[in-house]
Amino acid sequence: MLKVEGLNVFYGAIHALHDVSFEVKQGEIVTLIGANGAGKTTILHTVSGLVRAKSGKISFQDQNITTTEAHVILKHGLAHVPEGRRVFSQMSVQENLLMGAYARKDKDGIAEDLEKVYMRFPRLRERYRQMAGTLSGGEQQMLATGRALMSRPSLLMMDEPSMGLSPILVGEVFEIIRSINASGTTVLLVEQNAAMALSIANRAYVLETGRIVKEGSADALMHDDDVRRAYLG
Amino acid sequence: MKPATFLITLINGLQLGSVYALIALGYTMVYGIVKLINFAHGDILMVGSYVVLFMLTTVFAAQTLLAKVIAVAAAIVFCVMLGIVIDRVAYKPLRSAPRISALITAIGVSLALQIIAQLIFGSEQIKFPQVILNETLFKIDKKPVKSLPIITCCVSVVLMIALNLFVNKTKPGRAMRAVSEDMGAARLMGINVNNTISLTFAIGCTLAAVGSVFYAQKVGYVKPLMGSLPGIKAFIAAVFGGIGSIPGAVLGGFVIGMLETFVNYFASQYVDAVVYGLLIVVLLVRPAGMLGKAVREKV
Amino acid sequence: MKKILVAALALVMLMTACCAMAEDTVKIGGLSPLTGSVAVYGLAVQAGVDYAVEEINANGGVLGKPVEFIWRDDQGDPAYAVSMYNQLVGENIVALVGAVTTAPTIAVFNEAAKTGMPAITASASAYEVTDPGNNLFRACFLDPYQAGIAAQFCVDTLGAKTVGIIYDNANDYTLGLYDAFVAKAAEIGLEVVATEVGVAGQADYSAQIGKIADAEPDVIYAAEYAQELAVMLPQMFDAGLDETPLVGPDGFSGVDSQVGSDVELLANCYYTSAFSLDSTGEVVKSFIEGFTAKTGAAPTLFNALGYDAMKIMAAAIEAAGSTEKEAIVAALDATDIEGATGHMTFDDHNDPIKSVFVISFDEEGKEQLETVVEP
Repeated sequence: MLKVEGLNVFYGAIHALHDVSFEVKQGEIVTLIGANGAGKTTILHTVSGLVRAKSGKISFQDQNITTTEAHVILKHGLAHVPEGRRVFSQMSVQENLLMGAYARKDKDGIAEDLEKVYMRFPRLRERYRQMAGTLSGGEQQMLATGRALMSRPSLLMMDEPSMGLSPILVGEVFEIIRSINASGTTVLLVEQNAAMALSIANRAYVLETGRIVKEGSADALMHDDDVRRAYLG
Repeated sequence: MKPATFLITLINGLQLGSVYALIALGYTMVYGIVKLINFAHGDILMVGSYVVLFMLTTVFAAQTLLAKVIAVAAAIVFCVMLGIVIDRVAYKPLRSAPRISALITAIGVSLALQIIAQLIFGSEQIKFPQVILNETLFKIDKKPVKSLPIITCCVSVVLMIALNLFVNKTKPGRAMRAVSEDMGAARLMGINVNNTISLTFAIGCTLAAVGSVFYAQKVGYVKPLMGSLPGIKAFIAAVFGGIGSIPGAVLGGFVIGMLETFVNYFASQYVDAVVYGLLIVVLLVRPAGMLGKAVREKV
Repeated sequence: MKKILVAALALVMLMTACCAMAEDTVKIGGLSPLTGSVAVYGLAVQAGVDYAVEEINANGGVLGKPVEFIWRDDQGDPAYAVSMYNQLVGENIVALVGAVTTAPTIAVFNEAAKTGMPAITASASAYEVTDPGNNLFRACFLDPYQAGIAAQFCVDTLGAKTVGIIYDNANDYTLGLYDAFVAKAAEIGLEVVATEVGVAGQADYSAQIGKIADAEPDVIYAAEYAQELAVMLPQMFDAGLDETPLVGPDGFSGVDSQVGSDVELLANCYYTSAFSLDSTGEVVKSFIEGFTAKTGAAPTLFNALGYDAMKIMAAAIEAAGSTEKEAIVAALDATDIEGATGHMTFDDHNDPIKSVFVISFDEEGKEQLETVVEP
C-alpha cells in the first residue's frame, strides 16, 4: 500500500534520513521505533509532503507521491496525526473535526463520519462546542485522531500518540488504534513507547540516526536481544 | 465644548475610526496568517483612490452613478490583484526566511508603490471626484451634519459583520483560521495554504480599496504619500486591539479614530503624543493588545 | 617622422580646443525638491530659474559665456540636500541657487558658509536661513515680515478685533510664521481667541476647526501650505465658518488650482505674497508675457521668485567681472535690481527689502491684487 524506497532527507547540511526503505501493506499495523531524533517524525513528514526528499521514491497505492503537495496527498487517502496533536486550539471540537473533512465535498458522508467519530469518542460529543485548546491531553489526542479519521483515510499515520499521557490513557489510546485498524484502516505508527507499539503491531522497523537497522515481525523484534536492551529496558 | 460641536466631533471620530478599522483589518489578517507586518498595506489605500480617480477622469467622460460604481469595482479588483501579486512576488519567496527580511521587503514594496504613483501621476495632490453622496442631512446650531460620515460608518460596519460571518461560518473562513493557527497542520487537513494566503491578501485589499474611497472623499484630494499616515495609524490600531485579532482591529480602529479626533479638539498640539503614548501604555500593560491572546512562541 | 609630428601636434591642439570649450561656460548649481511632498514648490521654482537661464543665455550669457545650470533633486530632505550639494561642488559650480524649502536650505547654507560659496535661495523664508555666512542671500521676504503684515492687514483692512489661529507645529516655516504673527498681534492689540495645531497630511482638521468656530473669531490666520488649506477649506465651511475671512502666508499660492471648480471656498481667502500678476512694473510685465508664452501658463509666485533668484545671481557675477567667490558675494551685497517681484535691495542680514502684496480671489476663483503694503 505504502512503499518507500531509498529516501534521503536533509535539513540544511544535516543528513536526517539515509536511504530509508520500508513498506506498509494493506490492513497492517506497522510501527517505526527508535530513540528521540532517530528520524521517525521526519519519515512521516516526508511521506505526507511537509518535508521534501532529496532523493528516493514514495508510492502510495501504486501512485508516485514523492513530489505531490501535502494538501493533495490527503486526497489520496493518507491521513497524518502529527506529533503533539496540533489541534486548532482556537476552534471548537466540532470545527476541528470538520477541518479534517476539509477536502471532502460529500455532505452526507461527512455527517455520517462525524457521527461515527462521536460514537467512537463519546467524550468529544459531550464537548463539541468547547474550544479545543481547553481539552486535556488525552482528549486532544482523541480529537486529533478523530480529525484525521474525518478524511476517511485508507492509511492513518500516527506520530507519538502516547506522548505526555498517563499510563491508563496510553492503554486507552492503543486500544483505539487497534479498533481503528480492526475497522479496516491501515496504520503506520511512530512510537517511543516501543513495548506498547510492538504489542499491537504486525511488523516493525527500528531506526537509528536516520537509518533502518532492523526490521521484522513485531513478535520477533519483541524477543530480539538488541531491541530489548535498547528500547524495552 | 458646545453640544453641536460634540456631536459633530463624535461623528467625525467614528468616520475616521471606521476607515482606520477597515485598514487595520488588512494588517491584522495578514499578520495572523503569515506573521508579516505588511507595511505596504497603507499604500494599497493610495492605489485604490488613484484607480477611482483614473476611472472617473480618464476612462469615463461623465461621472454618472454607473461610472462611479464601475470605478469603485475597478479599484477593488485592481487592489486585490495587486495585493496577491505583491504577496507572490515579494513575500512568498521569503516565507521561511527570518521575519526581518520580509519586514524590510514590505517597507521596500511600500516605497516602490509610492514612487511608481509619483512617476505616473506626479507628486502634486489631485482633487478627488465626488463618489459618495455628501449632502447636508440636517443642521444643528448652524453646523451641518453630512451624509458622507454616516454612509462611511454604515458601510464599514456592514463589511465588518460580513467579514466576521465569513471567517467564522464558512469553509474558506475556517481554512484561514486554521492556517493562521498552524500552517503545517492546516496542510495536513488538505488546505492549500498558498491559496488561503492569497485569499487573505484579497480580503485585506478589498477592505482597503473600499476604505480608500471613503478616505479620499473625506480628504478631498489624492497624492502618492497619502497612504502612509492612515497606514501607520491603522497599524497602531491593529497593535492596540491585539495584532492577529479581527475584533481587536475593529476596536482599535474606532478607539484610535475617536481618540485622535477628540484630542485634536482639546489639545491639538499633543495629538500624536497622546496616540503613541496610549499605544506604549497598552503594550506595557497588555503586551498582546486589548483583545489579543498571549501566544507562546513555538520553539 | 614629420608626419607623425604633425599628427601629434594636431592631436594636442584638438585636445586643448576641446577642453577649453568645456570650461567655456559659467556653471551654476540648483537644488530643489523635484519629487516628494513639497515638490509642488520645487518644480515651480525650477521653471522660473530655467526661464531666467534661457533669457540670460539668449542675451549673451554671463561674462560673455553661456550659463550651464545643473539641477539636483533634494526631495525636501535636509540630509539628502547636503549630499546633493556636495555633488554639485564636485561639478565645480561657481554659485548656488537653492534650496527651496526652509529646512534643506538651512542645512545646505551651513555647508556653503564654510567655503564662502555664493548662494541664494528663491523661497526659504525663515529668519536664520542666512545666518551662517555673509555669502548667503535670499530673494523672498522673511516669515516675520509677511506674518506681521498679515496681522496688520487683519486689523487695518478687515477691521478684526479677535483672531483664531491654526498652524503646523512640525514645520520650521509655519512655526516661524506663527511666532511672528502672535508677536505682532500682541503689539497691535489683536486678541488671539483660539490656537490650534493642524499638522500636514492629516485627513481631518474638523476637530480643531470646530474649536476655532466655537471661539467665534473675527478672522482666522492659517500658517499652512496650499495642500493643507485645500483640505481644510471644506471642513471650515462645514463648521459654519464660511463667512469668516481667512488670511494666510505665501504658502497658499496655488490653492486656486487645488480647489478647482469649488471657487466659493475661496471667497473670503487672503494671502500675503511677494508677487502679483496685476503688478504694473516693466520687468514684471515682460516676465509674465515671456513665461506665459514659453510654458503656456501664467507664472506663480514661486516661478517669479525662481526667476528673480537666478537674475540676481547672474547680475552679481556680471558685476563682479569674474567667477571669484569673494567678488560675486561683494556684488550680491550691492544688488539693486528690478525683478519680477518688485524692486529689491539687501539689508544687513542679506534679506531683501521689498513690497508685500495681499492677494484675494474673484468670483471665478482667479487671484487678484487686493492691496499693496510698502515697506
